[in-house]
Amino acid sequence: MKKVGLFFCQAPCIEGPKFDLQYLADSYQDSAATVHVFHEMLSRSSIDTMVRLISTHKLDAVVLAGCSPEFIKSTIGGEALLEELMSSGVNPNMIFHANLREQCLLAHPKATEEVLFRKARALTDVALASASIYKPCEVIDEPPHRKVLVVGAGEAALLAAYHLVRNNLRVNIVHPFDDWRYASEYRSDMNLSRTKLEGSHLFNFRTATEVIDVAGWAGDYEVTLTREGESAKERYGAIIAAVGKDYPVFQHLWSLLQIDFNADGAPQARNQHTLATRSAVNGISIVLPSNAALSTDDQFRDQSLQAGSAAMDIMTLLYAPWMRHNVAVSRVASNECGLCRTCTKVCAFNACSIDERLKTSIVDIRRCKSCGNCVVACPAGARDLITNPTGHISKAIEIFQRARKPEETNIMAFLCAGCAYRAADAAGMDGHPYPAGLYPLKVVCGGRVDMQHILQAFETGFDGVLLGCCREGHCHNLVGHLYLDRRVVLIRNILESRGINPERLRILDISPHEGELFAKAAGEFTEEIQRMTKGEGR
Amino acid sequence: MTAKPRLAIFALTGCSGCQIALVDLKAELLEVLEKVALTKCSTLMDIKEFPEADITLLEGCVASEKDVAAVRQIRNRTGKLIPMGSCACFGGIPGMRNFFPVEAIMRRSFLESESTVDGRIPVGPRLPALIPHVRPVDQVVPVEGYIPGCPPTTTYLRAGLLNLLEGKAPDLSDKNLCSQCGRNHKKMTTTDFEFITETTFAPCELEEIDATLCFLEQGVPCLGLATRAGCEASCLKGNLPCRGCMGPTTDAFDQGAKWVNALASLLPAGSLSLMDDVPGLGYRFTLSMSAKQK
Repeated sequence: MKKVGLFFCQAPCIEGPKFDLQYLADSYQDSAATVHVFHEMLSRSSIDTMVRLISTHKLDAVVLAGCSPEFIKSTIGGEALLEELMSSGVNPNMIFHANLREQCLLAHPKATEEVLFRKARALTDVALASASIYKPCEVIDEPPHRKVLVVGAGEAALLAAYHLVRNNLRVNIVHPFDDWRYASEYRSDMNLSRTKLEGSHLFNFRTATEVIDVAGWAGDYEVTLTREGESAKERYGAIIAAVGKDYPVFQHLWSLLQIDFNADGAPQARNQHTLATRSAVNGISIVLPSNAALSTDDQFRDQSLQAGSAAMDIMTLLYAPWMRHNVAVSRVASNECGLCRTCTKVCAFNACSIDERLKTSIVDIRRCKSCGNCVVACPAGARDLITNPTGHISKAIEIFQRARKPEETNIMAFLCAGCAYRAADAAGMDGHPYPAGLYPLKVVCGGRVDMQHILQAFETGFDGVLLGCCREGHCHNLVGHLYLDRRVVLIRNILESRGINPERLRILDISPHEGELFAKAAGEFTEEIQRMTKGEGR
Repeated sequence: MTAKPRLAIFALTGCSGCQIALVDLKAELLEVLEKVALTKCSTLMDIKEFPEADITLLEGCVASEKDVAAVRQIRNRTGKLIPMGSCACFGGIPGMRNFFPVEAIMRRSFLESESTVDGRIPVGPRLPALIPHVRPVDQVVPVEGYIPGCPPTTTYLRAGLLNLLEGKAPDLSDKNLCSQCGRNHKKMTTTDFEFITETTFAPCELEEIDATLCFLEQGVPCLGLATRAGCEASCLKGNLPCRGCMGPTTDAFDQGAKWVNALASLLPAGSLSLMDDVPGLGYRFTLSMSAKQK
């Protein structure tokens, strides 16, 4: 039996209706090793208390019931909290979140206390159920490669490279054009930096070169570069994408580096205020285009500041003596693998292969991005995802099914972590309420949505199923969206044959910042289902 | 009288094919029969009442109120109850009627079928009423193991029986049928986002079927990859695609949905849905275990 710590945050940041949090916390006294309600979770004293509780109760798992996991991950305070929980001995795969702020309190400001309580309880139950189903992931410590790849040929790329070389890191700049691309006003200054760089044995500059593949993790990326039709693999510790306003040219790179987009289709930082040059992935920094409304001078200043910040991120990372990696991959039960090769066909990252000697499919841990596409595709059910196990998704549907009220319109929403889940967060944060009958479950990718779970949701009594995933071409995992679409075409057939109106299943393509669209779509879907269920019966 | 375990074999709604498969053991059947006291088997002996038994192999699905009563009675009178064949294990072919309500089925069968003249829906005290949905045995009473297959191959049936006589449950493989099929793969081994064929075919539409190449790579929907191994791929060795009679594998709970998950990345969805029978293909044997309708 795993020992779980359940930590609630009173969310003092929220004005408006709330339910009795203490009462909710008290109801979990028997199901967790320790339950604690903090006034504010992300404060120094709260973190200290959590660390103390972890060591006194020897906790295996922690459930943080408060703000969204995506919010925690993208803020400096949240990052500090997670780091301290992990260094006090909790496995990175054993930290769970119940999103009571963005997807409950903020999302349903007009709901009654009873509704809020019921939903908060379901979300907490789902997070708590994770603790008994998830397994700790393997952790690997490795020294990083002290070599950086900079993509781009503008001021920012040059300056970032300059900072890195001055700090004794090897740097390769690659870009697809024929020469540098910076404005003539700054040519003399730039040429000087360039002269210095080109005199250094640590520096290398390649034109007409493109990045076609990236595999690995912070400290050890294997990058495939191609020049004039010839490709070669090289190893880097970190990557800076400093392409500034050239970003539209690099569409394929954003998917390879798992970088998000904002409303204009430009790459987006992890947190535009405090982590402006970090991407969602450790070891990959970005320099964003400057605001075009600024004067040329101001744009130049912005680019050089970003370059400095990106270079500093990378230096801090690569000068650590070793780096820690969570091996979050899909796991193969070799006694169940029948060698049908579906996984090798579907994996967009070439992480799946067949070991002919052991007669089983295997996973390359440096290539696997734990998107879960192979887990869903594996027709034998021989695969499972460490970061999002099949058993937990089934359990979550069961828990939500028990929580729902038959008289309200209930929608089971599978939301991809990259886009739709964050869009639901944004709806709460930006004040766009949506019906409380929508039960959100975070899945790692659209490609993780198993058709078995869609059937399970309908059979257990949900009125609708919403599949939230990225906009086309924005999927972090390249093919999650594509395969979800293809699977849904077939499952609609199966729903119809069972007398379930296929219109009750909907895909919502959305970007992380589109909170208003999420709320609107959720509202309209609920209304349409109400019309369907009133009219034709099913 | 004797220390030999008492073996009973009984049929619910089904085709008796599994009992025939048992008789197909031929000389080997004698070897099995020496170890047991057979108390009931309608293909071999004429006993109307269901006797007490240590092991019962139950064929057929639960489709009528009469079946429900029979299953309960058998459960009370038997030690180990083992569903034999796909109907008993998963609902099987008769389970496909769960796609429709009972009234529609009666109307179609007795009034609207093309050959019907002056049809009427039969009623009468001696006709058992159909239950709304066909059920596999384990949805009505608990069971102690499974021998799936439509029908189970004689080797598999014999091995299962011998296991039972040793006090063990019949063996079930955890792998899918690809592990026993042995056909080659070409396109399945490389990653691209294209389908492995441009369109799909029924086996009869192909001029020639390559007996060494995976059926899916020839565009023929084959259920082997979502089906439990155990039949030694007998259909595939006869150059026919798998229809999935062994049911889903251990860690999959819905054969059709699992098949769709995999198929969507292999065969063109558009031409598959034109075939108009994805549900019929995916759930030929397992619809009633998949949809636990109330």
